[in-house]
Amino acid sequence: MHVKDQLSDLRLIMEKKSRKKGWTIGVFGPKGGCGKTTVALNLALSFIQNNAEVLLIDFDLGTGNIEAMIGSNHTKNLYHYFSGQSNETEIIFKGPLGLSIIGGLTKGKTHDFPIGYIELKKFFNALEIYSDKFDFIIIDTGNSLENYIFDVLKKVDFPILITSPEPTSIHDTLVFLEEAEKRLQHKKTIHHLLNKIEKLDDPYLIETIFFDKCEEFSFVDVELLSYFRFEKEIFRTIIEQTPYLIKFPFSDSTKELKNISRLVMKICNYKKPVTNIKKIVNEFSKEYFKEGEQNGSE
Amino acid sequence: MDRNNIYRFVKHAKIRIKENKDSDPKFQKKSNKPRIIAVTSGKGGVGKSHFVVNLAINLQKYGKKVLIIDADLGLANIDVLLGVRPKFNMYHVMKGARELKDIVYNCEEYNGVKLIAGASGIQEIADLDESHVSDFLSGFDDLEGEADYILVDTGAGITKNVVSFLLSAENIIVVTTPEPTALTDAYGIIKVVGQHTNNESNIGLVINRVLDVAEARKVSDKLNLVTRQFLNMSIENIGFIYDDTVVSKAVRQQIPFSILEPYSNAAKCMNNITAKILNLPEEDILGIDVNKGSLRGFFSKALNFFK
Repeated sequence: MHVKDQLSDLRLIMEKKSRKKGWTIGVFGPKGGCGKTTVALNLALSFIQNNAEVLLIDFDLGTGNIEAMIGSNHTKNLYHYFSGQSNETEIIFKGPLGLSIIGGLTKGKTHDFPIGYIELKKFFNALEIYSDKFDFIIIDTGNSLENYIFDVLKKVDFPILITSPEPTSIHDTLVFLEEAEKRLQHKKTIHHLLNKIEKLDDPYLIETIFFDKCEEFSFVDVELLSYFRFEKEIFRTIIEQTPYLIKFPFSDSTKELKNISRLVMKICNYKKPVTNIKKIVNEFSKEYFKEGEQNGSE
Repeated sequence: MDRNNIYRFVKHAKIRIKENKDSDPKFQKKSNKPRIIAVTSGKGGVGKSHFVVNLAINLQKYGKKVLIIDADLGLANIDVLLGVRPKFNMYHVMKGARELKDIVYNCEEYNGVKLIAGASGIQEIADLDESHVSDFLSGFDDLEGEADYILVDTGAGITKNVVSFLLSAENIIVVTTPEPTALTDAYGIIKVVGQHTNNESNIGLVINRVLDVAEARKVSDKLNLVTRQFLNMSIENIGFIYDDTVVSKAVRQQIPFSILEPYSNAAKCMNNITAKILNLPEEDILGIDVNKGSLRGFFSKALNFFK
């Protein structure tokens, strides 16, 4: 990374620092099943554990399936927002730990409902509204190379790109980066997250491939954020519809995820609100003393 | 490709289905015509391409000529899975630079399985006009002599491209996993296919990454119940594949698991599926015992013993 680019990144961060809320984090991954939704969901929960207000948007416009991931049967989703049947707050529903979620498009409706410029504009307008209410907005995308995915990539503050170490996944990610390079107009740092790592050499080897590739690019810059070890239990937690952050709080992946969320929060200059704890202590002591007084009077 | 075009495919598909129905309700292949099987999933990463590659190798073992078409027009990677590098791919056909039959690549390391490689990157393909796309699909007819079986691997998602490929095939195999997310997407693609064809269309189901036979049965029953109840469609259960570490090993080495470890659980499951597709008796092949652990299987075995 050049000094100049670092400066542009710093400028972005400084701009953001003045605006306290509404950091948008995009989760990308062109290979299907590389763990986009799983990472997005668990990262959101990890922010919530740090008392942040988080909104998770499933922006997969075709095979959106966040509802199946957490076992919710909420029917309103982005489709109802785009078609004008619901407004931007009605489509939000509550998930585990009180996480606010917006579902993706209903399956089987993509033919009748192409996503055009108007829908995207409408979505970005809604993002502006959400950014006042939430500290972090996590946008989970689909595994295709459609234009809207790159529009989201341009828009978000903190893009995370997920790759698993198989040759097929690496191939797809390289194609994704090439397409991104064609469409981006400004320098963008993409944070690379390696998932399902089985061998210790893998992160190093993969990063070498991407480092070489990035030499060719002028707008795309890929930086390694972190990596997750392959854990067989995680596949099972999806079947059981409980996020692994809740089911396995002491697993390696959970620990790493907490590190990542801490890192992101540091970059975004988010501070854990201490007032909340004080409030709880105050309320608790009030209740306690009240009871004590009552007992005493009796 | 717009709605008109889709309607044309639908018409085309309907005629095909009628023809098939006239000859045989079980969709047996005709004398010379290749049987086209399209494989899809809705959700990505459930193992479509693995399934296609290993099925092709198994069919080839039984002396069938097999052609794989990688119909993923954005993120194609059958060539990566097989570790081969064809010179031309779908991109050249879509642009009109090559005919479909000219880009058939013969994979000599896999007993001559033929491959039409897919395209990577969609910027140019998205800009193609309709005539190119319909020309491309009519090119299927030129491939008649090339193979007994044509396996079409569609991309992930429920897009126009995927559906048009599905409707032009005789048989559709939906690959899914026990995850609820994969199941909802599988249901989505079955629903869309059902909207465009009549209910008798032949849709098969393969459940990947299962722990045991019981789980596979549970998942297929669940999906069948839902499709029968809400879509009035019944899907045929073709088989299941065990969750096996050999699969990830195979991707890394870029050799299909049926060749890398032919005695692994996943490969044995693929043998079962191949037998089902070829209508072979299951005793003749080295596969997983589907009745293992179930009471019915136990009793049938016991009865056989006394006979």
